[in-house]
Amino acid sequence: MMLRRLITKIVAGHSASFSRMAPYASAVFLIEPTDIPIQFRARLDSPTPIICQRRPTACTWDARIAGPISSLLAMAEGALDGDALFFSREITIEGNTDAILALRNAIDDAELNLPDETADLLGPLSPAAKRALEVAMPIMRPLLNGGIAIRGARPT
Amino acid sequence: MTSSSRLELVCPAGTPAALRTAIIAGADTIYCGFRDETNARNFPGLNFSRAEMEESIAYAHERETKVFVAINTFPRAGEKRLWRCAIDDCAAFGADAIILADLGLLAYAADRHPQLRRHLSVQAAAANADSIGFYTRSFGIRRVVLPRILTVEEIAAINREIDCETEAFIFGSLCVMAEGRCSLSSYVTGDSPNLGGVCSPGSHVTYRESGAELASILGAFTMHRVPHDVPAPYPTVCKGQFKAGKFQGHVFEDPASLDASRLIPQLAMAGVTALKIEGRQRGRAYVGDAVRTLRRFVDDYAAGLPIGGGALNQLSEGQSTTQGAYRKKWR
Repeated sequence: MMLRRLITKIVAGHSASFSRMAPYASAVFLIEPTDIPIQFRARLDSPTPIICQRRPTACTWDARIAGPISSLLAMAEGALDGDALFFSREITIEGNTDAILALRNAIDDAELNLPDETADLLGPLSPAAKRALEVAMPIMRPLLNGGIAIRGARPT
Repeated sequence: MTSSSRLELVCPAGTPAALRTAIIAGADTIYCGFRDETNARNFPGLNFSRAEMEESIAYAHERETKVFVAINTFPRAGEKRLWRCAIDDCAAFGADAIILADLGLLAYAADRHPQLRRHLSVQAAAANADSIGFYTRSFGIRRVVLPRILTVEEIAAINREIDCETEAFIFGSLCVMAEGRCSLSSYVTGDSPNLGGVCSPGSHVTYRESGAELASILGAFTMHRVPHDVPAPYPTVCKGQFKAGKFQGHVFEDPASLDASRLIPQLAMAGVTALKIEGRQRGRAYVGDAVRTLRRFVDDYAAGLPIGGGALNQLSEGQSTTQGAYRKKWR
């Protein structure tokens, strides 16, 4: 529920950026972090824009993006270049290439700060949550980059 | 024309966010395009709406950064209005220059907006002094973006004979074809890169993982297959792998990016006015890294310091770089 609210908030809060995806708003994206046991199925024009599933769960999709969670998060925040991640084989893409390009460009233009976006959902607790995330993220990122073992994960 | 002042760093932006990133990273000038087929980077979700362009030009000017707008595809017969409208809007928004390739658009811009600075796009493939002289005399071209087929010595020779500035690519994806005239991808996709603004459009691209091997497919043709530990290139025909007689491999060119940063002193000595970073289709991370690095190199050269190199390898296609035609080692 929290994730759904976050995606809805991000899309609404960056409407100019996500208007770049207009021709692909109905496209179904499968986002597969390859080092954690969950996957995300996203469709931006749906009332439930994102569904979290156990990975692997068979489902239909128009475009698929797979890679380590740290790379996917860094790409979402514009900290790493998507093409460079593709060149290095860090991420894999399949399916509708135009839809993937449009999503990448929309997210890149949105200049997302995921800790801030997440903390904003907590209302009155937001300032405290931001401070906690500012402390936690520098610790979490190296752990994610090192491929932290998550219970139930099925390495691929 | 030879240049004696500080080299100008011309940087790419595919979105307003990338434009802001490039300015913060030290760009002297941004080049960008409208979100339609008037420019040669017409990728999905990329480029600027009219409102974004007007706001971004104002934002850049407040920070003493120039904005050049690329209108560098060729209008389809009977549909010139879209391209002419783009020129009119650039004049209205206060763009510092427009980058054009088509003769008709050059004539239109010179006639309707004589005060708007006109640059000749690399898409015009003007690769000798006579050709550039024609454009300067006929349309008042103030700067030419040099095709990526010239040696440093050839650039110096051109600069001695012409009356406009030259801009040379310093980093980014490399095209050694006659730009604006290459139709290689058209044979596979049926779409023209020179009219529609996209070489190897995503709608015709498929990536397929098979075991640890990645196949990159354009239209009905597999451009290359790479094992899991080999960097992936873009699926363009010119960088595909083919069999030709007994040879199997990259027939036209290797998948590598141009990195001429070590040639900054030579390019300056050759009379180049501006250095251009390719990559409007890339994200903010690329723009920030490339601009910061090349800003440092250009400033180091201006200060008489040695220039580093190799810092941009991770951003490069195939994760390898070349000095391309500037050195023409194959001759």
